[in-house]
Amino acid sequence: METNSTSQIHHFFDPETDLIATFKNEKLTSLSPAWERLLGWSLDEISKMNLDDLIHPDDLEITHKEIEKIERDGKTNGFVNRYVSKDREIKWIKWRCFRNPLNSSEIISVGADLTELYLKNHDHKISQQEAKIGNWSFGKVSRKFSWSEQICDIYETPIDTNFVKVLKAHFHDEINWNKMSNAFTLCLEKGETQYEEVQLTTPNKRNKWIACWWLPRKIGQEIIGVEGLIQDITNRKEKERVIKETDNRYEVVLSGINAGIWDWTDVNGQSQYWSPKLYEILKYSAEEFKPTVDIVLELIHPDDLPKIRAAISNLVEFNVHYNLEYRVKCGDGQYKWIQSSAVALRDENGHTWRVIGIVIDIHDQKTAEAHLEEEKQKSVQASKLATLGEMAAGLAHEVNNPLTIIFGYIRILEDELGSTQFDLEQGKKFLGLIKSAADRAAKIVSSLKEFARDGAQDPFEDYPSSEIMSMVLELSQERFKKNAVKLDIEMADDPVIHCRKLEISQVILNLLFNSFDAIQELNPKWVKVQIKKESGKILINVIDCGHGLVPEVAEKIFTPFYTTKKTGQGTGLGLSISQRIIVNHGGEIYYDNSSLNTKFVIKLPLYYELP
Amino acid sequence: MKVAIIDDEEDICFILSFELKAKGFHPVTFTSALEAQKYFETESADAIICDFQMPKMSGLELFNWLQQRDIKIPFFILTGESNMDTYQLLGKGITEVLFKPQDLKKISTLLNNI
Repeated sequence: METNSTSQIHHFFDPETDLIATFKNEKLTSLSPAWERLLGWSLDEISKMNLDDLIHPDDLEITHKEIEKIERDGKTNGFVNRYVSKDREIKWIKWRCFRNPLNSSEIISVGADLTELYLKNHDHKISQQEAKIGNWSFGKVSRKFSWSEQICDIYETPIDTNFVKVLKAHFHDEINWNKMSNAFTLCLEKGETQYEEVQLTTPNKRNKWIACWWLPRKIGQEIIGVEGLIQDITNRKEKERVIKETDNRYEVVLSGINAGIWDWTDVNGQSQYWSPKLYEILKYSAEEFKPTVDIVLELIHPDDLPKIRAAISNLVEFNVHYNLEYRVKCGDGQYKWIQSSAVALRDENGHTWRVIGIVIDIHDQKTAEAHLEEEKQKSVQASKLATLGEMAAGLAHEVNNPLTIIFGYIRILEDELGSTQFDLEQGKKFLGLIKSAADRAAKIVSSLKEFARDGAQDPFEDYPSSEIMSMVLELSQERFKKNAVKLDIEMADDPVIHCRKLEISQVILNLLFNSFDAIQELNPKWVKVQIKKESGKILINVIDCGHGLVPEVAEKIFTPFYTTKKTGQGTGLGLSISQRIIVNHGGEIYYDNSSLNTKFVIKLPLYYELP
Repeated sequence: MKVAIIDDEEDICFILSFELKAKGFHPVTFTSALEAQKYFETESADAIICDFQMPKMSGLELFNWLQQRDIKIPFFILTGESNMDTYQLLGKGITEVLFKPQDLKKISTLLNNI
């Protein structure tokens, strides 16, 4: 097939290294030995094949166009196409074609193998230095890897090391290695593009994150190999980790205090962002519930709504931060106590454009407080009932005496009515005595009933001191009288006390009975109650004939359950409860150690004098 | 039969003496134990009906005083208290503990049984 003219042409080129093909009438007439090296087939084999079969299918069109051009114009400006070698490698060839000047029917094509250059160029195009991208390729038939310098940079290995060995040595663990090999196999066998991010350790003991792409190399439908790209994403991963860690930190802190966040990103709009924790606190589903300002306001308990509206408007208008406790209806329909504080973000003109708030779940705390308050109220009542129990014996006595009188006079009247000399005037007098004894019993019973009632929820009202003292006396004076304890009430005028009558009576009665018990061994026995207005306060002194308390006792008397009385005679709660009652009235109660006698002082504010 | 009635409630003294008079007894009334004490320094009686709790001197104090003086008169306590330790009092020599309000008929029956 070789002709003389062609041989002459060959003098200009090196057939061992240059790809030379000659055509006559579109038929291949000769090939230089370089083809064998390039494509892996012998020249004989090649000459028996259709040349089109050697060209990459994607490049057939351009190749034919160029050949047409040569036939027509006798030359081309040169073009590049890809050939596929026997071991299914891609070869980039740059062609220059011209008519044989010695034999015009012959077309000579001289090709240069640019494969290596193209790989490098390709490399250069896609890998900016800072992007740290490297590429490699694998031929399915040749089972050979080739890789760029960038790859070696990333993996920190010399360029001439065994690629697979290097990779194997690099990976931390089998999982990552399996990930890599699975992706590779999938790409090679199924032609699927793969992506993985894997962690490895370089020979320099650096931990790196590598993003890997596996792209199938195809000729038509046939997979001939894998093109790989790797990118060093260690920096990105590190940033992600830091961000995630920071996010986590806030999330941990906020979840630790059971706090959620809402973000009204544009105060001119409706929509709000809720953090996952907030959804959790308020028991709504993030998929179903999309908070808007109107919806959120509707969730707030009607009793709390006015203060929230006011707080938000103050925040938006005047940048007054708020921190409020209120109730919000949750996804389960129940109201929950939350504490919310919010800040406004303002632009340079001072206009609020965004409001961000934090929500803390204080429901358990609130319910516990309410429960505790309830328990306290109950203990006030329980202590009062204990006092009543202590008083019961004495009170029975006070009722039994009038009853004896009533029965006695009735018996006398029965006898008298049967007699012939019934004295009408005396009968009337007896009836009057019956009535007054009955009144006395009734009064004691009603005082007792009134005192036993739970007055913790009573409104504060104005009571003259005399009204309070008459109730106190009703329940105590008989006991004092019977035990020869002189009980004096000194009221300069009759100051009005703004209070819960029952509670103040309870406190005074408690002090009176404490005195009563304390002075049993003394003689003469007396207790004095003084009520007066002094320096803008109501002053109630309860003084008895005792000689004061020893300091060790005095410092403990307001402690709950502290008592000096015998077991069964006192609960030890009287003074601690009295103290709570007085504090609730805005006043104070204390033991006055400056007095020669035992003296307790109650000071109450004169609310009614306030404007 | 002379019966001393001691109660700080005047009405009770009156009612008891009225009843006892009607039953043929001779009542003497005192509205305090101190008064009665003074009386028993010189006088005597066949029975005593005494309130328990009274200002200045209680019924039990009067009883103890009489015991000390070895004055042995049947001593009835008539009390409005409800939690009286009756057995303890009877152990001390009190004849009977009666609780108010008391059926007056019972008192005369008891006095007659002395």
